[in-house]
Amino acid sequence: MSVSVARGPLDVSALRAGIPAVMAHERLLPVHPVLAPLFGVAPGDPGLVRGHTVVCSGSAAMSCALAVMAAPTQAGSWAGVVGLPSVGVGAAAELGVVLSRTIFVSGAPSPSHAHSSHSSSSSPDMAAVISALVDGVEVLVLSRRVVGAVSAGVMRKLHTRLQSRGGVLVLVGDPGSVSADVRLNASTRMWEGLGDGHGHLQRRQVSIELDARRRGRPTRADVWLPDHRGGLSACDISPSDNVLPLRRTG
Amino acid sequence: MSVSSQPPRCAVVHTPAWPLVAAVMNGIAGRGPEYSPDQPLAIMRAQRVHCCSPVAWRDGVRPGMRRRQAQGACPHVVLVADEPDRDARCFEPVVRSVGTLVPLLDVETPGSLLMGTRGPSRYVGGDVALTARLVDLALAGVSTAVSSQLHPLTVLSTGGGMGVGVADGRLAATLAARQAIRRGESVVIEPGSDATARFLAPYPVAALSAVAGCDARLVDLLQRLGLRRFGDVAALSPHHLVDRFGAVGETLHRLVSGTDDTAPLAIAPPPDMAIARLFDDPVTQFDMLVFAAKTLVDDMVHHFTDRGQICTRLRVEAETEHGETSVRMWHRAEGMNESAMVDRVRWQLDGWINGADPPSAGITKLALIPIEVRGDAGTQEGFWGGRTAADDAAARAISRVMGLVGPAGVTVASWRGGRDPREQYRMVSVADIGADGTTVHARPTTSDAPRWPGSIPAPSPALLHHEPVKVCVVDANDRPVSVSGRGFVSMAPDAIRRDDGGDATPVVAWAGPWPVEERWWDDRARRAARFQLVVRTPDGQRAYLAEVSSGQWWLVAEYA
Repeated sequence: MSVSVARGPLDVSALRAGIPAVMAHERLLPVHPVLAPLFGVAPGDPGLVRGHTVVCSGSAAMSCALAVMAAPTQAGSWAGVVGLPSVGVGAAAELGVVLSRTIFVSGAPSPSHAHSSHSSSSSPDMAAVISALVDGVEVLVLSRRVVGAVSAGVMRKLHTRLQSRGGVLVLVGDPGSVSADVRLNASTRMWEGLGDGHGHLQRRQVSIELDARRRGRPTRADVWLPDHRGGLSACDISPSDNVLPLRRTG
Repeated sequence: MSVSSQPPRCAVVHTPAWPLVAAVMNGIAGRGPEYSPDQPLAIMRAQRVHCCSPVAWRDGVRPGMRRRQAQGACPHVVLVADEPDRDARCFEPVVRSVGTLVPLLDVETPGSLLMGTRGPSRYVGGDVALTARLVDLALAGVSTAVSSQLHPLTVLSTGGGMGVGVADGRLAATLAARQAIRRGESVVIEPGSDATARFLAPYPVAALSAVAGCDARLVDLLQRLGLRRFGDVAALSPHHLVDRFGAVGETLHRLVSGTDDTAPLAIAPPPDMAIARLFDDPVTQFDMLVFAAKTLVDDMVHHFTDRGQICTRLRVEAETEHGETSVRMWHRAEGMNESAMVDRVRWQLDGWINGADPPSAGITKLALIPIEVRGDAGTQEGFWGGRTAADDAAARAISRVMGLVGPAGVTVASWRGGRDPREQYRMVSVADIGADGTTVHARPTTSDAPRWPGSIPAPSPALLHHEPVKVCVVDANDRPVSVSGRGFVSMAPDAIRRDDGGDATPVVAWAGPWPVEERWWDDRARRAARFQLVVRTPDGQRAYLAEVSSGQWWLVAEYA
């Protein structure tokens, strides 16, 4: 992408406008092939725009965030998970998250502490941790509590920094105050595999709705999250061919 | 790590009862020149005889005796109080003397030196020539420390003599050195795993606890199982040993079959390399501290590079006028150059001064202590799939975050195995392993590894409650559901209710109980019955992993 040697009039105008010429795949991080249609790209193509904030909400928010994390870590990016000590590492591994490139940072301020000190002593600490991570990892997963402990001004600063470093911020649970570029709402439709005293949980049908800023109407897809191996797979079969008959769910 | 890898060839210089030699050197025993080899000597540790000289042994003094018993057996025995510092101090001349030939030394304990022989053997012309040189050097070291009237061999004989052994691996070399003392000449075991295994086979397993530092209870258990010699244990399949003893079993098999590949490379750096700077005026400016650190680091790194060494583990200590301290250990597997060291000092001080609990006064002392140093053999980058720019950026960010939240707060997950989803992965501090994107043990994929017996099949829960949530599970008649000791459920669960009150949530599907009874042999015993429950909530369904233990229901994980 050597821009300076090009002599065409088009390149000069681009230079004048100060827009660096960036290839599409450098601007984007990969997404899971099953989620690709939601992001409006072909399966296998990258679709996660660097610098964007992705908010995962709904009853399957955690699994959804892990699924978003998986593809970039497989492609060599590092991920940082802050303030989520309860994340199921087994589920993350089954969804394809590369654990050797995933850093778990604890030391999130406790909720009582955050309330009592009113984000004066603990928040700068958390903000420093996050901004240090932004420099090194490309996927940063934060819990709603961490975002709540950082003031809105600091969060905006971090967002600017994230955009300049080309990372993606994934928030688990909807913090409300943050302006999200992509909202993923994952709601559970039904679990399969568990009967009335028999069987075991096998897979879950989840309806994921993607609402992106500057994009028309939300897109929606039904997926197995997790499927019977703990992964993510497309749900294009009718719900009638269940693995095991399930009692009426009302 | 591969089990079949060739263990490094090692040499060991060993004196069994070094404290006695140290006592003689220090002139405590026979007041220096008047010391005579016929003087019986014993070292007392914790009111018992720790070790005794051959003369004292002949007169009936035994390790483990009390003072009166020892004096009863041999009235003119000289009893010397144990003093580990003296032992180490008196061993120092020997270390220095041997160090002139072999710079990379591992002092296991005072009285025992371990070194790799690859370079030195080639230099002096073979293992046999090396043993001769080591004996000469060790004797020369002893003679510099004792008065000229005493022959170093006489002094050493007080401590049971000195032996030099060369063999593959640390354990075999140590045993060879012990055999050398009995034989009176150096012992060189042929290279190759067959020869090593043949040499090790007749040794009793008790040598494992005496030499290799194995747990004495493990040795006792092996003896009670009828495995009395190394050969008996080596004849077993490593899989069986792992089945019975866990990770220890693998180590055990490597030790007894002579494939222990622990490299004897790390050496304790000379103590004078701990450098410190005291500030007459307490320094409050961060930049000045970093600048001071830079001058300190330059000296230290020059010293190491002159000797072809590189520091891999560094301790940084800072102290304020009010006595507050910040001490942190830094590790970098590929070694630290000047800028890497300064970075670490900066991160630590930055995290401390600008952190949540800043010091209340200026800094008066800054100390850098190299903890682990190894030969600088350079690092070989991988040809394919080596470190990328992203890995380097991540490594820098990780070190920075460690400076802010402490090394224990930055972790990676490592597969450990287990029945409970909460214990299948262990969170390992990055400081302990050094994150480079490759070192973590990932879970074996389903195709090549069997499932952990008794674990709950995939999918795994995405949210783990490390503090389980207390709930009440009731049947259709609103009576609590119980599980009998034999694993029978009283009634089908119909609803769950949180302990903090609130409405009951109807259960739409359930399965269980899957009983688990773990670690009944020690105090971490756990007995519980596990269930999977799907409940209906206003926003659809939620699935939980629940556990009943002593009649109380807990939600331990959620399939979120």
